[in-house]
Amino acid sequence: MKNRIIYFINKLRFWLFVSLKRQKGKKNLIFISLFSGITGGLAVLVVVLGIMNGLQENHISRRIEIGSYHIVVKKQKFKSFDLEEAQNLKEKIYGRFREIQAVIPFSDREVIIRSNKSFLDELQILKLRAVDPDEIKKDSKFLEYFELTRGDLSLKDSSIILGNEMYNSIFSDIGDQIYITPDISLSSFKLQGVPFYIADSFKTGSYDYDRYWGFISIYALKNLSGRIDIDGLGIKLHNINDSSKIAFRLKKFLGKDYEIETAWEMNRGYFMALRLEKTMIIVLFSLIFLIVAANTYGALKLKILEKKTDISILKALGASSRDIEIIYSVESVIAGFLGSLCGLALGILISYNINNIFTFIETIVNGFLSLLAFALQGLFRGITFGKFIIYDKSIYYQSGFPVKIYFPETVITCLLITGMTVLSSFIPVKRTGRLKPVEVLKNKS
Amino acid sequence: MKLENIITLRYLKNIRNNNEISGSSLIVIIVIAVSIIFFIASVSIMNGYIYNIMRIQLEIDSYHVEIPAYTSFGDSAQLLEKIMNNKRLSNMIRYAGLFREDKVLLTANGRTTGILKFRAIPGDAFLMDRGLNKSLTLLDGVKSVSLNEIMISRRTADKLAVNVDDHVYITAMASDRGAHIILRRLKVAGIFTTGYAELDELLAYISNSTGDSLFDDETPYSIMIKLENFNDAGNFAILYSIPKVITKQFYSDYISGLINKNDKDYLFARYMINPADNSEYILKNGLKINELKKLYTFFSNLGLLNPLDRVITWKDKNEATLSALHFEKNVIAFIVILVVIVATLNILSTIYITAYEKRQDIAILKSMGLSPARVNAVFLLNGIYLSLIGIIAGVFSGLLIMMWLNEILQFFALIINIFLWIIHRIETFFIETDKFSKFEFFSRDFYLDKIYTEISYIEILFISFITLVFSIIASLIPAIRAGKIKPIEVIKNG
Repeated sequence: MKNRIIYFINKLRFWLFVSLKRQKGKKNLIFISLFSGITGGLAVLVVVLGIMNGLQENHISRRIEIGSYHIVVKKQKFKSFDLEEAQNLKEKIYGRFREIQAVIPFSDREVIIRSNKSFLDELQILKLRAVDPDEIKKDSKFLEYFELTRGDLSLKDSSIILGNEMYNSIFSDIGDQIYITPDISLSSFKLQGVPFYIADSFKTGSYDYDRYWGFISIYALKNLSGRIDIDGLGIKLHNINDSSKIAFRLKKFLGKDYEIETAWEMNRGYFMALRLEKTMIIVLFSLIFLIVAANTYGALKLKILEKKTDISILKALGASSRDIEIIYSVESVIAGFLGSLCGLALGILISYNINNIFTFIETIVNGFLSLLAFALQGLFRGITFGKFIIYDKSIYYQSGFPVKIYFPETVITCLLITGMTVLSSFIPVKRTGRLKPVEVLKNKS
Repeated sequence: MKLENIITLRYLKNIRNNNEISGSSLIVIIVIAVSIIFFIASVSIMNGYIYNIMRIQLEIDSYHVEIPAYTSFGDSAQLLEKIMNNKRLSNMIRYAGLFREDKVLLTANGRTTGILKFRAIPGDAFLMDRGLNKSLTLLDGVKSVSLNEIMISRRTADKLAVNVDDHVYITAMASDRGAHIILRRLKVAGIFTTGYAELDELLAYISNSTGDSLFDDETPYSIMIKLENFNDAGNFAILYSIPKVITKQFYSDYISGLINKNDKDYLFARYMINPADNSEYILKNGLKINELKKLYTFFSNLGLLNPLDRVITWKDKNEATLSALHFEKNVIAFIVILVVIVATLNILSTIYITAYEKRQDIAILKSMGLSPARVNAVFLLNGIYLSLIGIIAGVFSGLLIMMWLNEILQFFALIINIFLWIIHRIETFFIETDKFSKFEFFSRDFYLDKIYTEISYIEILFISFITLVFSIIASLIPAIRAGKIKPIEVIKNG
């Protein structure tokens, strides 16, 4: 046993001695190209994935926490609950499941609103959601994303909360009156819009909600449609990861009269589209690594060709084919792993400071441009350059890049890419096994 | 150059005899071809997407030019007549009509959906406006709107669960105090799609005659204009808003004091006529568009253009979308160009290998009198040929792929679906699962109805040029080294 260990250590020393010896004197093209290729590529990949995840996460979280709840219980065939049914069902669900944070009876409408301001004549279409004002206060995740200007989420019978984009676009103030179209049904037949008072405005950070959504109390539906119809019960859990489990148990508990959907099922198309975009980006970047791999392959092949004589001598002295393989692939393996580590670290560093970096670059470029303009004043009078902006906030709704790095996803991608690149260096090395020392040494070619 | 060419071609012909050279040459060609295919694919798809979004936007949504009116039907009709009487303007116009737009709710079968672009258009608009007719695909019913009829999109129809000849209720709100509710029952005449899901959700059409009975006079009529060539929209705007007549009084009050004398006299002498009675300046006939542009900037710099004379062109309306899309396209193109450049660097090691393997040939050639510069040329040519083969292969297969892109994607989707279906069947033996849902590459709910490609030959030329330049740079270093081989040593030692 001891002998074997000593033998192995000796072998290791031999491998390292020969492979490191080679690196002295000449510039180490393979190491540099592989290392920089992997570092640069991975850093960019991590940053792009981080930004992409951040942007997607921004939409997904709002869609789940504000728009669609974790689980929704509805009656079959689009039937609606009345208030008493909904209350009973709510109590029933609360009584059975401890994982549930809030059960929110809700009802959705699309309505036209008109501001009462005399100078403003414009109509707006609003997605109106009526929610139970007491239950909504229990929903901690909802409250987290739902930033109120005044901070008071007590919905009264004729008050409405508008998203701040809508709020601004109709030039409203708190306390202003707006008219809302009532439902078309006999029980609510009205020829006038129903007046509501703006109680507050909210900001979620997602344009869709801020521009097109409004919230009222479920009891205010009586003004709009004459009676209180409840579309469904939105369930919020303490932990969203339980949703499919709880949905399964709910299905068993409530029976076949109800339709139960999780957030994922409701937004399947949307989430699939987002996932596809991400896959596309990863594929696009894999191409870069494929080409880095091709470069490594070429460089290593060249190296082995040039070292044919050295290899033959080593072989003639008793080195096995495996020794040669290890000696010549050690450096690409080291370059691969070091490169991926550095790339990962660099990528994470850049992504968490991306906003600062962009501001920094913008400042430098703009400073340079204004200097240039100043220097050229003599030649062209009144010359100015447009302002250089990397990320135009006026086009995109988000004011900065929200960055989110998912650890397992990133690590798996890194490992795959590094593996691919390192593997590509093994192909030319494998060929050295076929080398016949005698012939090479005799003919020197 | 002839000799170098012959030698290079011979090397390329005999490439199969040498394993080392053929392997790396093949890889170079493949890598260059693949990266060029990738460039063509990404740029064409982005171009196609941008082009088609814009086509739909400017034919259906924003028109080429829109003149927002603030007044009633009579005034707008008068304005339109004035425009049509102006020869220069009416020559550019293919179709012009009055329309108005409002926001309403549609209700049917107990479901309600909001329509953000509820448009009342002339009854003959679909017949007369070829662009609109072509861009709007009819799926069911007829493509016309008569009195008390409505055309809605497929998505809206699905949302409301209605079909052709069913009835929908319209709820609109009047602008009086207390917000009077307008309710009307209309028949669905046709169901259409624009090909762009997001726009489909917003649109519905009625005729102006229905609109008159629905809205009061306070919803103003705007003028929609389709030009013979939509790129003329900017020129149209200039022609429309330039003042045709400037009174002497206005001239002396505003213009004469604002700019220096030379410029002013020059401009007025060139572009405006001072008739005999000497009370006003009139715009010269037959001015070229460039001259008008100068005059336009002159007036707008002085702030003398009437804001009510402004028109909205499709570019103004879609500027944000257009620049965002171009930004995305440029980012993608930039990444792919980087990939292409890195791919061409593969040539470096290939030429190294070729030069190393051929060093005996070089030694003989040099000893027979071939100068180092000509040896360099041989290997430079070698690199150029390799990259040319890669470029040609890449461009042709790229163009082929683009031609059949939708079919190719469908084929892959089919394979993936079969695979998923088999997995799903196996799953159902063991656990209770949901219904099988099909995989789609591009969900129709979020993109256009299919992938459009728009091949830009200039961009292909550009990338081919870049590839060639970088492959020359990459083969330069090994080519120079090949020229430095010392014949005597190689011949002596092998």
